[in-house]
Amino acid sequence: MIDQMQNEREDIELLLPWYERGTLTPEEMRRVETHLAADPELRERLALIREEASETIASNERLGMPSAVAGDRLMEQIAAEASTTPNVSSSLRTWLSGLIPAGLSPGLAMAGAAAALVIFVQAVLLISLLSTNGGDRGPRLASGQETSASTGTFALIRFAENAQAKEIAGLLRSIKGTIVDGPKPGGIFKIRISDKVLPEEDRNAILSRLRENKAIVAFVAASR
Amino acid sequence: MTGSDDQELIRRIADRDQTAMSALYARHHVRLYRYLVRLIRNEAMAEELMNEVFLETWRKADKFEGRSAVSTWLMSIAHNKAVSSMRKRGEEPLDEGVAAQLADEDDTPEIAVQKRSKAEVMRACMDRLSADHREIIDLVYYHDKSVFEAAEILEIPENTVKTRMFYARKKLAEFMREAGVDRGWP
Repeated sequence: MIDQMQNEREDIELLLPWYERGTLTPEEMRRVETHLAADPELRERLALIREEASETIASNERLGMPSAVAGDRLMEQIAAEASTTPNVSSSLRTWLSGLIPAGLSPGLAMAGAAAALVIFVQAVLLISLLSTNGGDRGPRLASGQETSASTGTFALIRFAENAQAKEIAGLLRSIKGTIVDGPKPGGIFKIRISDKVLPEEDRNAILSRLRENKAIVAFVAASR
Repeated sequence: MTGSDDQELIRRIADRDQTAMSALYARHHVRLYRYLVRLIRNEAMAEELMNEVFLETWRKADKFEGRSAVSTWLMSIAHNKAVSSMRKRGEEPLDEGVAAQLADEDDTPEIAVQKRSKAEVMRACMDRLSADHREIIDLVYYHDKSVFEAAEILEIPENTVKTRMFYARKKLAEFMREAGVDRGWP
């Protein structure tokens, strides 16, 4: 029991410097305070620690500052490095900012940017996935060589934030759909759901099938 | 500016934002410089190492995990650079201090104390501490680092941080006693 009390006291004494600086956790602060209230010797030690802290701060403050030249030199070096390193992130930011309407509040703009980033990632994944799907096995991004973007039946679609590229590709494949444009502002893609102009009933049936896949499709509507 | 502002600066630096880099420099360069000067005792070299720390921050901002405060991360980089620099120069970073003696050889400790105030004696005795002991005292008293943060910077266990601080203070008291100032502890 006595050993336990002695150990506890030693632990508290070790913590005194941090107690003096207020850098302990609230629980530790309370623990030290309880001991200090009951132990005059610990309070004397704390007084010594206050002197040490005060002189340490004074010694550091007297050291002055680095030269202004040092800062200039650093920033020159950084500017030189920046000019030789491609800034992919900045390009992305510029691209994202183009998706956000002017005049939005910073909060909305941030939310918009986050959504745009998700869409961008989806688009990149889609492009990479679809471009590797050769032959007639699956949907492709439209190009002048493969299809004409002006004929057929179209829809506007926004994919769910958590939709995986593979799931999106699978869904498009199931309806023989093709992405012909996008992403547009708001993360909307234009897809062709048929090479022919379908009757309204058939078109709506395909749109319904897409809507049923809520985990993949956030929004879909007919388009010209 | 708060710690979360610092984290925002680091995020922008990872995006290659030079304005954010200037802001980070403005916020931390003085303390970082002082930390290095106290550790390696060479102003020109401290300035050079300080710039190396910021340059590394610029290059590795995208690796910052946010586990600790940005200032702790900077000091951790600074600590490693300082230790490496001292080793390169053939200095033993863990050795006892080699600062000038407190008193003239002819002075008795009592006379030396009369010549200096107690505060001056303490500051001079701090200079006599080993690099390890000076560093932990500065981290705790001047840089206000918690036990956890000091452990992160020095890459040692938290218990070692506590005991190192205790022995640093004990050594300081011994030096002060040698200089004629008995603080009644240890």
